[in-house]
Amino acid sequence: MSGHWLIRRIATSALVLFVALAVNFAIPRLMPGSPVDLLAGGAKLSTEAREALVTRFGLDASLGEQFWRYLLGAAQGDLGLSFAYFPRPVRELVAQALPWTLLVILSSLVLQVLIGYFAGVASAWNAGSRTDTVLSTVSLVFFSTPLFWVAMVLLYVFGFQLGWLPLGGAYTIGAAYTSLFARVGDIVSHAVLPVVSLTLAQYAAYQLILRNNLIGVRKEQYVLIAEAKGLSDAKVKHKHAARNALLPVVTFLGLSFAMSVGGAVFVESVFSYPGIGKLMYDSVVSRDYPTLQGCFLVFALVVVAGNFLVDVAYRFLDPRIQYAS
Amino acid sequence: MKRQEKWLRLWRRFSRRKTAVFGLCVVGVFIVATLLAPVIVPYGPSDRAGEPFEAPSSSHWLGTNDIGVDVFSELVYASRISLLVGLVAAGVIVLVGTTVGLIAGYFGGYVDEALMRVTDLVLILPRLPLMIVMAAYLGPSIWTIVLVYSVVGWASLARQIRAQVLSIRESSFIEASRALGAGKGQIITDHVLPNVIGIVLANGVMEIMFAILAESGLSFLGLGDPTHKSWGVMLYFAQLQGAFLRGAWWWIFPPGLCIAALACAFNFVGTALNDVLSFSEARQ
Repeated sequence: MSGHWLIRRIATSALVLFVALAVNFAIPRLMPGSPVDLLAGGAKLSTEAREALVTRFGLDASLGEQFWRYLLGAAQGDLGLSFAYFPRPVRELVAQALPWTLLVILSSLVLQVLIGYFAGVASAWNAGSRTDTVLSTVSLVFFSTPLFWVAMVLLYVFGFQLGWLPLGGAYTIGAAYTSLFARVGDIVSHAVLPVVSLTLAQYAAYQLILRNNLIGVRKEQYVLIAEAKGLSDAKVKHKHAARNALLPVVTFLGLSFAMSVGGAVFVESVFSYPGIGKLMYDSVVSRDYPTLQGCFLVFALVVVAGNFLVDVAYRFLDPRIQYAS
Repeated sequence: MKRQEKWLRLWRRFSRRKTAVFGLCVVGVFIVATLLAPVIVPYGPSDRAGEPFEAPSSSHWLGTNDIGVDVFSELVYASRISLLVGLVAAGVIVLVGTTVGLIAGYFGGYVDEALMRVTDLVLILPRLPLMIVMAAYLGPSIWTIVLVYSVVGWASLARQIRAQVLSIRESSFIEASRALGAGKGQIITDHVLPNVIGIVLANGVMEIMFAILAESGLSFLGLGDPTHKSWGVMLYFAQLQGAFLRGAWWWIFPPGLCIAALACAFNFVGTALNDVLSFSEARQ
């Protein structure tokens, strides 16, 4: 049963990746003007250079053949050559940037869930009270504030004015570390502002989901019994009630990868953090289309992989789901 | 008469919420500022009215930017672009999302299956990166932003409308009008549509918020129209021209506060509408 489910889940993930590839292939070809001009990024080309581009990118072949070649290339990790860093392959640029993005996204997701959990429990347990109103309003305000601006304000205050944290980058360039500890400390201090900005902008959903779900769970018999047994308030909250309100939070975690990669583009641009998001921003500025599209594919891959892993984990966490088809 | 009464009752319930009224007032202030921009503002939106990087003073309430343009004047004129793009993009999304949702929900079968698969794919692909790729090829313009945001934005609304239509489709009054010989098109426009209009309205207001935020984000990344400055474009230039290094907080804080205030206001109104309308539907 569960094996069959896994195969289907892998197939849908593959399908989404295929669609991402198809979209990536189609976008430049759907745009007005010839793809050669787009590939040239607006530069005037001589006839020879034009022909060289046409041959290099196989634009003389039929669309079907081009797509097939594109798929084969992508399957082997060939994402083309960067224009801006010519002739470095896009794969190399992306591989260098990905770990930084994953560091930011994953640490932020952990923080988002933690903050969302405690804020959600606090507001659900005091639903309708002042605490609830304040917590809900704060999260709503952060939810409606543009992430990149929150990042800019934090950078201005803690970077430029107070000088507590570095102004950008992922590590001190050219630093000679005396110990592993110093190196880790340096990387952490550079990651603090990007991670905090991303977290502030995105924790609201977890709080809201947990709050609404927990208000429902609170009235369940087993919570009332736990209370009647004389268990401490904290024990009832965290061990009995919240644990059973957590599943929707896990579901949302899978969906939130798509939001997080979008957020990464903003925070990495503001803090010049050398991840995929910054790479994508730079390639917009320099009209480096192969790199731009490579970044999109990697983001799609991160989202699909994140969704898949959360889904699999979910099934293991909650065995009841296997029975429901 | 009866319909009028119903709306009046909804309004009364809506206006009892402080946040909703507050949101409505904020939206109103911004709309007035947009319409009266030339009257309110001391300088033109691109006049070099002072020295570069002047701090706020009585002649420049919010100082000046890197080329000496009065930030307050720029800010008020930028509200036109931000609000316009937000409204137009939300309008397109409501139109497309509602249509897809109605068709999928009402016709069901293969039509539903096909439309929902497409919807799922749009929902799962990373939105912002996809918008960036499309916008990078299309070139910076306010219509680029409306277009790329519409391409990815309709899907979640379509899903909600479809779910609502599915529940309405089985109700007895639809069955009755079908028995009376009403055609599919007529049933959709006369019976289904009026019953999803509440959801459309509440979600439409939320969509304005999302569209304003999306516009500011894309513009901040340099995909906005530099000749039609929105709040996002202002922040793009502030970041690009080193407003931080010059300590020009007056150039960075106001546009972001405006985006946040307007987005928050639409969020308050949308949330209240959603509560009021779903409450009234639940009672019927």
